[in-house]
Amino acid sequence: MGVLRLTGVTRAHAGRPVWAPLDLTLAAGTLTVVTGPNGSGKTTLLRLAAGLLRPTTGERTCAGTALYVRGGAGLRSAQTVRDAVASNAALAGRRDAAPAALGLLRLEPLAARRVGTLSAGEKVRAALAAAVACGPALLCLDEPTAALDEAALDGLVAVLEAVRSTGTALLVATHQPEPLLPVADAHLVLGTGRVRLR
Amino acid sequence: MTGPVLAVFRRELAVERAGREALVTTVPFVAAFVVLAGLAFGPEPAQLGGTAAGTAWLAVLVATVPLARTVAGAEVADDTWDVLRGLVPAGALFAGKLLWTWSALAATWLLAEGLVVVLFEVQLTPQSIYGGVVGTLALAALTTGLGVLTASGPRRRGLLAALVLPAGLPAMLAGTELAAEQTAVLPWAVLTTLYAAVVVTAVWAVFPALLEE
Repeated sequence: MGVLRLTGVTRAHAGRPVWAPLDLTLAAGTLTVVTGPNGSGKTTLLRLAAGLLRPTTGERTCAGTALYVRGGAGLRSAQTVRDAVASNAALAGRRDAAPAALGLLRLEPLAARRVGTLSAGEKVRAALAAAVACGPALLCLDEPTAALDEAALDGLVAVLEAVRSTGTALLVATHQPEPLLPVADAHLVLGTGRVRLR
Repeated sequence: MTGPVLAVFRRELAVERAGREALVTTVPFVAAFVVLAGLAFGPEPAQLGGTAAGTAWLAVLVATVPLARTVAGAEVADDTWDVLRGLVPAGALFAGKLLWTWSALAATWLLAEGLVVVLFEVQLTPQSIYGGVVGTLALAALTTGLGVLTASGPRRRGLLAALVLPAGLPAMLAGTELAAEQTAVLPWAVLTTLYAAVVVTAVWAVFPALLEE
């Protein structure tokens, strides 16, 4: 049983479908990388997978909570990392999961810092910690690699593997897939009007 | 249902405690508004007494505009709105945001009313308190709905004042009448209650559609 099942799904912008009808099933604890040029519908696919957009045609079923996180966003900038992660976890009824999520992402040294003062790489880790604390079945990450240097990219791969080990299915859209592809379970390539699954 | 509602409310409180956005925008504004209104209307106690309730309610109504930003505009600016929508069902999100906005507006009304009681030398009556509680509930529902509607895009944000100020007029008028001396209380109390019931129900009904893009 997949966590996410898209069957014949399309989404139209201004009356034109972004991609051809798409079938996609994601299993628990898998990492799927989505690539494609600008305008190919990566963000649309992720938002649709997370349930923020309705498909124009086709069906979407998701077993559990699905979250969409853009880059290192998802936390209120005025809060400390500890409070922001705890607030998000409380929204999912999992306040107790916040300390473990901070530990998983090795964020204890940054826990007292305000989110607005973090670097881009630290924000991505904090956003992932908040998402993990919510215990989502599916986590859709839009360009988490943007604004990261090489060292931070390597760190992100380890972080995503740690998140995947919790059983969360990961759908990651990126323009820099190289560091992720060796550990990915699937690679979805969106092009103009077509979809290719490697 | 109450769990997510209270979680949203507590999160708003935690964000306010950390950033004090509503506090620093609302308290100085309301204090300056009431003091300046008192100076503008003159020193005559009778004249001040006649304008006290209207002054307090006008301050509350105008304060809804910056407060509306905390409903969804600040979430959009921090890019947290999608996560919130993903975690909390629409009904609970509406109720949690409404609860927060109502608390903030009720506190704003209390501050404004307290200032006019002290500075304009008027008395706080039970019917004015009823108007404050129910009127701010109606304004909070309006602020919540319009805050979400106008959160995305600068053009929409520009519409906020043009929408919320006229739509909130009935609350201001009824609240003012309830606080005024020698007013028939019952009709204005009924009007305030009906207005609040209609606004809360209407915004609750359209809220899921407001969340969709």
